[in-house]
Amino acid sequence: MFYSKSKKARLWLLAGMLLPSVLVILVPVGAGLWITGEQSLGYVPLIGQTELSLDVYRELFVSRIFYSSLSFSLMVSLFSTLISAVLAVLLALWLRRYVNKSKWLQFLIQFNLPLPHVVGAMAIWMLLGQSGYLSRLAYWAGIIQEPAAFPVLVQDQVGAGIILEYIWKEVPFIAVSIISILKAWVLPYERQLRLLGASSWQRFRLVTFPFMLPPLLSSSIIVFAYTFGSFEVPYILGSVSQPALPILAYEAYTNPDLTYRPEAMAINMVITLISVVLVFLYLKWGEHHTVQQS
Amino acid sequence: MNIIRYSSLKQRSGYAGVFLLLLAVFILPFVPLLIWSFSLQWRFPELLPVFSLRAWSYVFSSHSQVWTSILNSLGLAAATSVISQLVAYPAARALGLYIQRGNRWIRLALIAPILIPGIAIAVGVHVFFLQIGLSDSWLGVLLAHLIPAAPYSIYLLYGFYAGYDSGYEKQLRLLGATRWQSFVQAELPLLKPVLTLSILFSFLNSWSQYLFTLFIGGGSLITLPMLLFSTLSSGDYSLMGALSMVFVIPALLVVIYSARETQVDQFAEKGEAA
Repeated sequence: MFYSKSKKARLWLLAGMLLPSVLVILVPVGAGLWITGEQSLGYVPLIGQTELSLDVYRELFVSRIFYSSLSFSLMVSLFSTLISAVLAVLLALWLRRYVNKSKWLQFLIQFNLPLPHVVGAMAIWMLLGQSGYLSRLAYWAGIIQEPAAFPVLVQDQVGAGIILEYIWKEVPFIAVSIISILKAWVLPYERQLRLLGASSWQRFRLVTFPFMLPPLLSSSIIVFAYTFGSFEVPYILGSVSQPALPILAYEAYTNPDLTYRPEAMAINMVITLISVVLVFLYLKWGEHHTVQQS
Repeated sequence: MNIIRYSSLKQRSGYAGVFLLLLAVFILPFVPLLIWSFSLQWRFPELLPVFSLRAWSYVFSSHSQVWTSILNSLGLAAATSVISQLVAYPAARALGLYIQRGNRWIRLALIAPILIPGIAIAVGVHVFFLQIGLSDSWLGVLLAHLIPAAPYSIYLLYGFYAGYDSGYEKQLRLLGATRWQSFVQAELPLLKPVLTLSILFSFLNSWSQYLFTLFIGGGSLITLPMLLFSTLSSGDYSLMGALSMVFVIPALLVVIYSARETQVDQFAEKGEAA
């Protein structure tokens, strides 16, 4: 469709093809981020503040609650990602010899991929809460006598419930991306190595793991970034006294006292900046994998 | 054809083990949610509740908020998935086939909303929509839902067009087919699997959207996730269970559909091999 057109006409056509997505995505997101940045510098005309300053950031970086939220969010993401990655590798190695043979197994691995995290969080709550199903089973097994004796796994200080929800949801996600690579590439190489007399550990170290690494890294970065910025799961399963960073931003933003507004915006800027760093890590390690696949 | 040969018995019991473990870990957490939806009360330490259909009859009663919220969610998700494709298609095609200079950066900018957390985007977009008069409106919420959904579609469709050979459609055009004919006869059949995925993804994305609806809708537009969160704070576990079950239906349909699709693929592969 492009042959008969002059170069100028082609440029206009391409611009026109990009226009809808620019209007729908770039304009609101760009404007939103601009406003967030502006207000984080103290520019909130609504309450008569029009002077720009870095005061909010200065206050933020010495505030205890901010640091405890930031480190809580980072730790929760780190543990969720690491544990999910290890379990996903084990699961993928174990599953790959069955996965082609059964559509029920396909169904099972994919089962909780598209489920909303909100429902996952509620399921975890009803399963692991102090009067949840596991607690009841523990009672009947004679391990505990009352709900309060069951360990606090939900709305707890260290984020156990949050981490468990993420693991439950992300292990299949990472595993599926590894299995697709294992299925497509690894078998012939492994066979070759086996013919050459390599042991199973050597096969794993020399072929299986190097092939797994790109999808493992890229999906792990996605998991880390997602869990770091996610709102719903810590909102349901987190403790009030130990808020995750997105919850802290939400609380500051919805505070009727508008003087908290710059603080909310500054926290959002921090979340955005950390995500941008993660995006660059993803581009460095992850795109390699996408290119390979396509 | 496995490199390591197992006796069939060992293999079969291994399979059963895998299957039961996955079933327990992935699906069993939903059982308490399901039981709650059929309960009147369920005191600790009872393993089964006093049964009742209260929550379900509330869900299905015509005057409840539930139906309104389901219809709102369905309408938003359907509109989001259609508009998302309309927005993504030209952009993905342009980026995949024609744009060379700055391609990577344009793509990164368009896909960024997937990677930046919802809270950081929703808050800024809320203030922006307040300024231009779009907040608290159906249109505003729809536009907000497109912000995370359209980038997914662009990502998926771009992946298709980056590896797409436009030879067939050029051929058809040379033989005198119109643009539309070449689209329907050459492009669409090849695009169909990715397009289906993209439609399903954007539908689910909007269906499970909470933050953007909450901020941009300002509480005036009640969707199913909004209702689910309010039952959470009201402590009505039975209703929470029932609403969760309704909430996961589209996701379940997607899994069933995709499991069937992969099965079809396998048959196709076998057919080719034979």
